[in-house]
Amino acid sequence: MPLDHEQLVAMYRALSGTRIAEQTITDLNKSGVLRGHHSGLGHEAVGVAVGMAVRPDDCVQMSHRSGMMLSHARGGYSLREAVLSQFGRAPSHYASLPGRPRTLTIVGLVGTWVPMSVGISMADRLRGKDTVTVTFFGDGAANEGAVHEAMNLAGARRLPMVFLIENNGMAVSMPTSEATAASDFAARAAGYGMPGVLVDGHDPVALHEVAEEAVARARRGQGPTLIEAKLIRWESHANGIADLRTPEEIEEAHRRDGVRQLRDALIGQGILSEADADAIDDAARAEVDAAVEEGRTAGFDMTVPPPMDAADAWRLTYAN
Amino acid sequence: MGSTLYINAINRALHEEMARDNEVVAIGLDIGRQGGLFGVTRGLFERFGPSRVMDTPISEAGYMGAAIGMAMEGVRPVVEIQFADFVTVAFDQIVTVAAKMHYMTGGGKNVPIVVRLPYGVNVSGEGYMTGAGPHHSQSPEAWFCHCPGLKVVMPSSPADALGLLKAAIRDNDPVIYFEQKGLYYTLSGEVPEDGEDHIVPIGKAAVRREGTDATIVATGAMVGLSLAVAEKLAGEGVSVEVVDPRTLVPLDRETLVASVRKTGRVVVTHEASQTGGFGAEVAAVLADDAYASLRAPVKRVAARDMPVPAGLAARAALPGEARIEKAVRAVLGK
Ligand SMILES: Cc1ncc(C[n+]2csc(CCOP(=O)(O)OP(=O)(O)O)c2C)c(N)n1
Repeated sequence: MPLDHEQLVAMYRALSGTRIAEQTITDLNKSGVLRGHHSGLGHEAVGVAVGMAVRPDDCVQMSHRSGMMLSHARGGYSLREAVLSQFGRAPSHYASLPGRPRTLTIVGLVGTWVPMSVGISMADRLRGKDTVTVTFFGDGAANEGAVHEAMNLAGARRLPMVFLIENNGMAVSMPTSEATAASDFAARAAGYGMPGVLVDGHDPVALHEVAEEAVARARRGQGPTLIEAKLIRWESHANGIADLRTPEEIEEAHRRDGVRQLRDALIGQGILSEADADAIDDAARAEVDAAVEEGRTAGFDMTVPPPMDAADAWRLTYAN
Repeated sequence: MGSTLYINAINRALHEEMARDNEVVAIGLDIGRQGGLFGVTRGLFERFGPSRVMDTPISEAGYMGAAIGMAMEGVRPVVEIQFADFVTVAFDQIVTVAAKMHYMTGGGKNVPIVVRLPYGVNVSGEGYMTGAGPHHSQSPEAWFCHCPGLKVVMPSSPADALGLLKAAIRDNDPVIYFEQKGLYYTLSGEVPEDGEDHIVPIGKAAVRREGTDATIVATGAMVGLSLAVAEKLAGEGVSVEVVDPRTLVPLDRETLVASVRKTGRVVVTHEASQTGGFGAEVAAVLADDAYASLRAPVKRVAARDMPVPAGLAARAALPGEARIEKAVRAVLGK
């Protein structure tokens, strides 16, 4: 179903807010206040659009790029928490907490995290739930063997799943075009007996439509879908890592910016006035700025190791 | 009490646990209609159906990861890897995902899977599987002992195979269960009557034979060989104790140390190759905890550091009674 005006405004609010938060977090990392971030700038649209297409009891395994945006769009995860988590003052969006929409953690090895999402879907089926499992991974991860095994297994069992490849064209310094001879990952879906859908990863409305259909299809019992969202990340792989791309490539990313495109469209269609849009942006900026202030005055210093009781940490190695 | 084959004890544990708890499921290659390549899962598919006895494509990483995901939702999957050797394909899922989940989620999620690994060769030389070659014969327990977050068990008798598998299935952590495939059809032993809920606690060693002159610490198929050696030496008036750790992680240090306090002389033997093997860990533990009691250096009797040869040639690489006996004589200074 096409988004109504209210939903479009909500979408813009989430896009604008997470853009401002992500820009702020990225800047704090660049200036050395925080250390270590895989900036999600440019990935807001895919996070927000998919976040709006799933139910709270659907399980989403988020990526290191768009997870914050997705959590925010699903609800229960404020911009303030997003910023404070970077200061170690609030749980991250990966945390499974009561009252929050259902998520599945990732692990530090890309691609490795995908098979466990298949297991979530299998467990839900054993329990007779009508939930859908969505798993995100990048173009780099897509070339890992475990991802192939996971998608094949999901296809063979017709599991209610959505595999979402955020193809930002690069894996650190490896261009997608050199990593595979195939022009589109979506075409791989045919090999798993599932539909493959290619979508502009900057266009939140197009992304939402595609994600909503894939989720509905899964819920109808028609099996998994592979979605490839093509987009360009704004920043280098992570802060401190040189960006080997040309300035033109990065300019192209800004030119295709989905946040601004939706803003312009909503104003053009008279759904929002310029002043309405400004008010949305200003509210987000105020929340983010206050959170940064809160984080900084909490005395957070990345250069000082947090106190850790090794004996307590050891206890977490085993459940019993 | 009745006598049963090692393989039947494993099969019984699966039947009993799946009947007891609906959350227990089995997953792996050819475990359904086929009943498992070796027959370990016989009857499960007919009894519990395809939703709980899941045949999968040949995708060890895929179905291991899927089992881990199910376990995070409270399901208790028992994963069969057809040959322990094939676990390399799924190693990343076990080490990266399963072993660290409880820690990484601050205790929020745990992974109650059991990974069944049919390992080793038929050291008796009777029947089948006498050295199935480098890719179907390994004993890779040390890889898993080196990964915090995993528990590792290695039953050497039908009763322990039954009791340890039931304990592993009920455990809330990932447990790697090493079943010696050469013993499947060659070893029988007493097990409690059907219907008796026989549990062998994880982390508890067993003294298989008491003795006072020397201790053999043996795992898996080496236990039987060590008992034969002890029997032979008893004829010469030498009293050998045989200790079977049963659980490698967490290791029952107390039982090992108590034995060594008594005998002062130790041989450690396992089917896996020597360098970096579990025997090295046992030797180090005894050096730490029982140094003052040791009256001779600890001797290891392990497979040679080489791929396991195919066929009967495997016996040249693997430890056997002769080498165990020689090592016992060496620690006794005879
Ligand atoms: C198995 C594995 N290999 C290498 C890395 C190091 N690494 C971290 S992110 C990354 C690039 C991943 O690319 P992609 O999946 O496209 O995601 P992106 O970061 O571009 O969003 C690499 C190589 C890793 N984390 N895991």
